[in-house]
Amino acid sequence: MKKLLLLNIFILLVILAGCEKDYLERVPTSSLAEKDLLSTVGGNHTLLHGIHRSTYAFYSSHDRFGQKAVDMAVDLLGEDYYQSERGYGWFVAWYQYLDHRNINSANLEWVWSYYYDIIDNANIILANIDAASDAALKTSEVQFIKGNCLAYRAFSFYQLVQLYAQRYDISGTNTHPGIPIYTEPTQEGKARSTVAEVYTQINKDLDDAIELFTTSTFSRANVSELNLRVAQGIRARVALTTGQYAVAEEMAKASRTGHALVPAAKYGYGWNKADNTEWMWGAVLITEQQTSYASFFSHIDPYFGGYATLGNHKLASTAVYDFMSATDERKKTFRTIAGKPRVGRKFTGNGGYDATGQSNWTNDYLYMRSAEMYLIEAEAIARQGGRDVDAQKALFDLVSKRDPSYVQSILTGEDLIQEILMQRRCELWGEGFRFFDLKRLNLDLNRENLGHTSSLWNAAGYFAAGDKNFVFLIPKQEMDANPKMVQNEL
Amino acid sequence: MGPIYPIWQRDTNGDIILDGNGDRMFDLGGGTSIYKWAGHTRPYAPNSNLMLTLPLDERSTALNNFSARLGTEITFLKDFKFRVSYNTDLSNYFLTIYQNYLYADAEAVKGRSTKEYRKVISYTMNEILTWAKTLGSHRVSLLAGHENYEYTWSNVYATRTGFTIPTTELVAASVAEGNSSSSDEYSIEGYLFRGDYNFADKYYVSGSFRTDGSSRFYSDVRWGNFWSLGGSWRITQERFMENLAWINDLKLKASFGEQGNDDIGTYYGWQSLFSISGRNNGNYNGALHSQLENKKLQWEKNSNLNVGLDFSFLDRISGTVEYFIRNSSNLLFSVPLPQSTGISSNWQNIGSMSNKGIEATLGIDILKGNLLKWNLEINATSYKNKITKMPLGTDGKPQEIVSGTKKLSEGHSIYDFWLREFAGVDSEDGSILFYKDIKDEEGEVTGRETTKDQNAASYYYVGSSIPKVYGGITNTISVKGFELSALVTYSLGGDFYDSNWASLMHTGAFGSHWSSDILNRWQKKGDITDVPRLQNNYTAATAASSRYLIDASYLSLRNVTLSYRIPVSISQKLDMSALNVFVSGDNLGLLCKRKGMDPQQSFAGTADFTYVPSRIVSVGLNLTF
Repeated sequence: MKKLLLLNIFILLVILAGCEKDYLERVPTSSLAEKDLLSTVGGNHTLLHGIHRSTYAFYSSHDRFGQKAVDMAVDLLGEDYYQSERGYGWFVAWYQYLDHRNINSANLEWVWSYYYDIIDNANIILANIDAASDAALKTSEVQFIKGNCLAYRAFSFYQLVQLYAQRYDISGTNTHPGIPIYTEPTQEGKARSTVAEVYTQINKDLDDAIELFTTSTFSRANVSELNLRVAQGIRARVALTTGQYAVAEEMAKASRTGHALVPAAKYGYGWNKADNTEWMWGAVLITEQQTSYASFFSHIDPYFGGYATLGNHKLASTAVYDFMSATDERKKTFRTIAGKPRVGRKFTGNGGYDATGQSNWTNDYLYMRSAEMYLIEAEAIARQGGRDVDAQKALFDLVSKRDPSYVQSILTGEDLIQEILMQRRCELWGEGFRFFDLKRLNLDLNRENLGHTSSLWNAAGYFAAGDKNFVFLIPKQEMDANPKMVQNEL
Repeated sequence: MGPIYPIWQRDTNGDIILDGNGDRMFDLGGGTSIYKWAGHTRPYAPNSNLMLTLPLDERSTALNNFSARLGTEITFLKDFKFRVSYNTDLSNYFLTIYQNYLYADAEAVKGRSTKEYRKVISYTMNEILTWAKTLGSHRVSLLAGHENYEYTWSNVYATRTGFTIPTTELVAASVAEGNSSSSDEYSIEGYLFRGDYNFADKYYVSGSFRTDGSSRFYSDVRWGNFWSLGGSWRITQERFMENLAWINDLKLKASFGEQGNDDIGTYYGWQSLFSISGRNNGNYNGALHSQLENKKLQWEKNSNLNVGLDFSFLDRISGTVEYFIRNSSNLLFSVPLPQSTGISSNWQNIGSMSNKGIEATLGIDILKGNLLKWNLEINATSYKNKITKMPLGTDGKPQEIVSGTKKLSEGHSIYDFWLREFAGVDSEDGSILFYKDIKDEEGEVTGRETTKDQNAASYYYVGSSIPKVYGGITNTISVKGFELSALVTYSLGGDFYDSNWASLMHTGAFGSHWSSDILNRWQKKGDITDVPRLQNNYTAATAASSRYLIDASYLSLRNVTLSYRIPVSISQKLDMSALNVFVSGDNLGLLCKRKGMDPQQSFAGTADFTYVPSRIVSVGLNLTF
């Protein structure tokens, strides 16, 4: 008996030991292989949703949470938006012009990789989707996805070239170094194209995207997906930067179709919910995907219980605050909190509270809204000259929805442009525009006498227009790994 | 957090503030609970107080390990043996991370609880056939076998928030914050052959061959072949040695062997992958590019050529001297790629390197009396490392790869530091100085100067983490039944990048610790020091450089043991064959260049926040029945 038992065990073991042919084929379950993902249109759309998610994901540090983290840095590099104390220290190095002027800065490297990751994923879709097995059956969805990818790529190039290169000079040749352009997946680093070449690529991508969106009948899942209006909106932004004012006017006007401004009474309701007609592009978060302390609202909402509550309140400059009249609903979103004047509550408002009086932790992210398009339109018309009344009207259409007592401007020429620009600073405060505008308009950075705590800004109190400090350095990782890369002026 | 922050709230007189029940009030340094402190926010870790939250929170892991070893052997046809074995290890982890709902981190979401279950299973299976035969002075044995190994890892976890009652169980929480599951698999399979031959215990020859397949590589290049050959000659067995009675033993040996390495920190190094973990967009499935394909990725091969002499003479002295050449080819390396291409690194076989050196062991019985014995054993190793081949870049030249504090390039060692070179502190303004190359119009380096800008500083090869020589010394002294032994390890030469110290030399962060070396900071014009001025957010001052390279030489007292063997006459009365008592101490002392640094931590010469080895003193009793 004993012998038999032993034999049985032995035979069993020998049988078990026989390796099957696919014994050494292993795949993870939390990743997908390329062929499994990209072989269908649905798989490509899944990748596109991954890009959408990347705009509000958490990137291993509490000051890196996607598009809104970049927006916050862009605001903090200007003069209208600041922290009055060091608090927990997040974003302080941006404010002090240190993060983007230090080749070893992890934040500098993150911004670079954040946009180039989007470009890489967009390029992968563009290179594969036409070969998807069901591409011929779902042409409308394919057009929609490709439109998204092209618009994302253009948007990413646009953000990068504004940050990592010297400004676009409307009257210049713009042959100075821009950023590397990638239009297909590769492992090989490229050299920097000129700023003019980068904008040529951006405009080509946007024109292609607009054409695809115009043809496609596919409707987006929610505002996290780009569509014709968003592509037109990005095109309007770009045209304003490059001085194509007629295009800017046309695109701004077209893009806001279907996105009515909210009435003045609703302005203070809070810019944290996507169920708002003004929203053109944003992210709709669910509880499981909100990033708690490492989120936009943690850093800006004084009632959230996050970093803003703990001392990093975001304040408005006196320039912005004083410009608005007492009846302006936008002004009412600022108030004294914890002894600090002009603390921004724009993104909380009444819409942000739950029954306990504290803010919700799950909020939506705003990337583009129609109010900006009115401002682009007004500025573009004013800069074309000769149609100041049209510009005044576009401005009035917006501001009358903010300040019920606002009377249509009678200013003309440069004065009118200056009013439009001030309204722009008031309307878009905290939405990630000011540093770009400083570069676009070739202005000085001057933080003196605007309410800032001068001991906190380090050496960044004043930089003359065109200063090298307005240009982000190329991160060391890129310099080391890409032999063709050239550094900006140190 | 520095110890300057109070545990309890205090009034202006410094007295502890009491609550309505007369209990002391904790100081949370912020937040919204009753323990926030008069609107004041502590600049370091506000809204936290471990004294308050530790008893209320939970961080626990329950671990079960199960192992089974099963084997059977069959002997047949006289000289054959067939052995089958099956070994398996199973581990379960159950983790709880709970942050309470009343105070601190999870206060705003009313408590957060995470439960995670992990299951790890591995098994190895062997089938080995051996044949052994002795024919006169000839002894031969042959072996053939097959083995396979499989490892699987899987987990599931969930996090919920929103508690109103004190429990860590997820059912009590109202909001699902996150949940996930994942798994990993890895397998290898191998066939092995081995032969041994020995003539008259004088000449030995052995050889082996094995072929291994790893799931980490693509099917076309998955299998690696490795062989070895060795021989030795016991010279003392020869007749001509018979007259040299003072030589106890002399053996010459030489061997060459290869080993494969597939350890690349990821199980799927060759595949192009898209991560689906944490990629959903709301309720829509999402994925994102996470890894590049490399179908050519294959085994790294490490060969070892060894020639050595074992000796023992005068009944007192014995030892070994070995010369070795260890070559590695197809080195596996996570190669940094330009971040602008999307994925910033991928696994590649990048080149070859060699380690050449000498290893020696010497044991001497200094005293061999009946009463007093003293044995000394010394070992020492010294070697050089050199990268002999790097892949060609697109420009046709061998590539150079910068990674962390190192740069890999032909002719240099993988242990050579590649850093900015610290040039001291400007006594005028306390700025940190680095060296920077001066280049002519053609880009040729014509000299160097100092710069205050860390972005402009040049990088240089500065030092290496390889010691000149390292090893250990053991002394054993015995008197009657007492025995005292001490092991000292040493390392001479080489550098250590002390990032722990670097992090304590920051330019000022509220509430953080500082090294006392910061007292030497530059303070006024004319100060001569090597610590730059203290200025908040002065980024150049903390930039990685040779400033943090410290001589890695050390002397460490690793173990001292004193034991006493109770005389047999006594132990026998207690029905024991032996009875020993001992006192032993581990990690008793370390001498090195900087207090607080532990250069024993890593061969690459970099620090992390690992704990220094604990000092253990043990007292024991050994009973043998």
